[in-house]
Amino acid sequence: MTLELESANYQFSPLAGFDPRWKLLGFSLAIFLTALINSPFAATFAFLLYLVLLFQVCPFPSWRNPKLAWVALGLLLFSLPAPLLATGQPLKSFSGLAITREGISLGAMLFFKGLAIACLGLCLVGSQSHHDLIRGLQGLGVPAKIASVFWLFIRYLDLILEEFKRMRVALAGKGYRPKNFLQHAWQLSRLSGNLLIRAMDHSNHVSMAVLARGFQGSFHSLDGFQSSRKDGLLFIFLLLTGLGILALDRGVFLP
Amino acid sequence: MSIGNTLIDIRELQHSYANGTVSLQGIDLRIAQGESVALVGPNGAGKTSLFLCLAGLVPFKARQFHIGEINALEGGNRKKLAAKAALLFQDSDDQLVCPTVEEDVAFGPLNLGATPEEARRRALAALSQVGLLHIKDRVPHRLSGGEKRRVALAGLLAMNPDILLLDEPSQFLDHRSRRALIRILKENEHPKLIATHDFELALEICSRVIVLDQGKVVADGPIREIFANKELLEAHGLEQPPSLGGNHLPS
Repeated sequence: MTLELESANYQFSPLAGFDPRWKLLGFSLAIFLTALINSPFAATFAFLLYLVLLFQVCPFPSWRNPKLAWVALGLLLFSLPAPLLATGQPLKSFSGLAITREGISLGAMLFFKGLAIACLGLCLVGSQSHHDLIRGLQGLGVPAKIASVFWLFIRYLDLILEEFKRMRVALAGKGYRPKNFLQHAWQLSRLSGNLLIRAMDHSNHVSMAVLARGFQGSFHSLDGFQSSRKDGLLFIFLLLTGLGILALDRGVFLP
Repeated sequence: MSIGNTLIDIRELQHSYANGTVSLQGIDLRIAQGESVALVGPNGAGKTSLFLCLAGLVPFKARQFHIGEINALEGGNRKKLAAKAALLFQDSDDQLVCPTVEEDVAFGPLNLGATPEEARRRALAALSQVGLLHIKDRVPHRLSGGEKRRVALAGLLAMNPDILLLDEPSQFLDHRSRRALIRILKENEHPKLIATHDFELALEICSRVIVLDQGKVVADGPIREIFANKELLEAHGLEQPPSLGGNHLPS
């Protein structure tokens, strides 16, 4: 098993040794503040800043880049129609549809805000193991059952991705060569039912395996949490950066 | 209550899946303390279902179900079985959940209420037993197949169970890893129930074999005696091991 969502090199991240509770708190707050951004300029600025942070925190291109690319593709689905859907001053009209300035602005804001949030999320999950992430959640007072649901969700998503990979290899092994993207997408959608059944079967084994080892919904660890000054500094950095970008968004720095 | 040196005492065990498929039809099973028993049978015979019942992971019906001092038929006791009958799954990846080997092996003891110090001590002892103490800080998912199997086994040993349930322990292992596993299992004194298609492994470790077919026990006795019975094995889709005269080459 490769654990698609977990970075294989997370222990080499500069943030690997940080207390997961502070990291969770800091990145969650930064994500929340980023979600409040309304202007495309501030969203773009946030994206560029957090992209630099992501490159520093997760220097593992083979893990980081495909995930960012998939998020970008997903965001395009929401951002591309925005210029046609938002009301405002039309820049160009065709077939009863109008591209508006406000729509372009909205699309750009959605796209870059989404990417900025994705960068923060990848910084968080790319710098520690899932296990520590869940322990951190429990350490912050999240009920054990909710933390377990979160862990199982991540783990099951991993299994679905892994089964998807296997099915693609199996298809290629049987000589399947898609002629175009649409044909490929159609074939994959036909296989999605099978994929879910296989992933569910696999996830059932994982769930039984942890139950067989006495798991009762709560994660324990050999080592307790250890906070130091660097954890506080990281939290303050993320808080101030988030607040600074929000201030930029609200025009606080304008004369 | 267990009788004498009986570790497992089960009468008329029945299990069926949610879709109605009956997997176990009235299994009687007795295993003594210190005994190592092989469980063989064709695919779909009910070996894994029996293991899931023994580990208390699925609901079942039985007239009697004791493992050690636990009567699983008394309210709430089924969930206590996992600590008594530790199950090694076919795919070790399913069983490895923690960021380091040491944490993973300590996962069971911590869940069973051991203090971190005690869990660490038991994890290191178990890793030492399977010869993997030197990789305690490594990430489990990046180990070789043989190492993963041994780490998963160490995770069970650290729980200090009454019996080890090993589901196809040599599956997917190369020759060297298989030999290492056999050596560890032979040295280990825990009672074992080993479901396997690897009859040579069964011959090396077990003194007794149970043949399961279509959810029923069709034979139970000394392993060499039963494996020497070519007609019995072939009637249930099995083949004699080569070391006892079996010929696996097409005639």
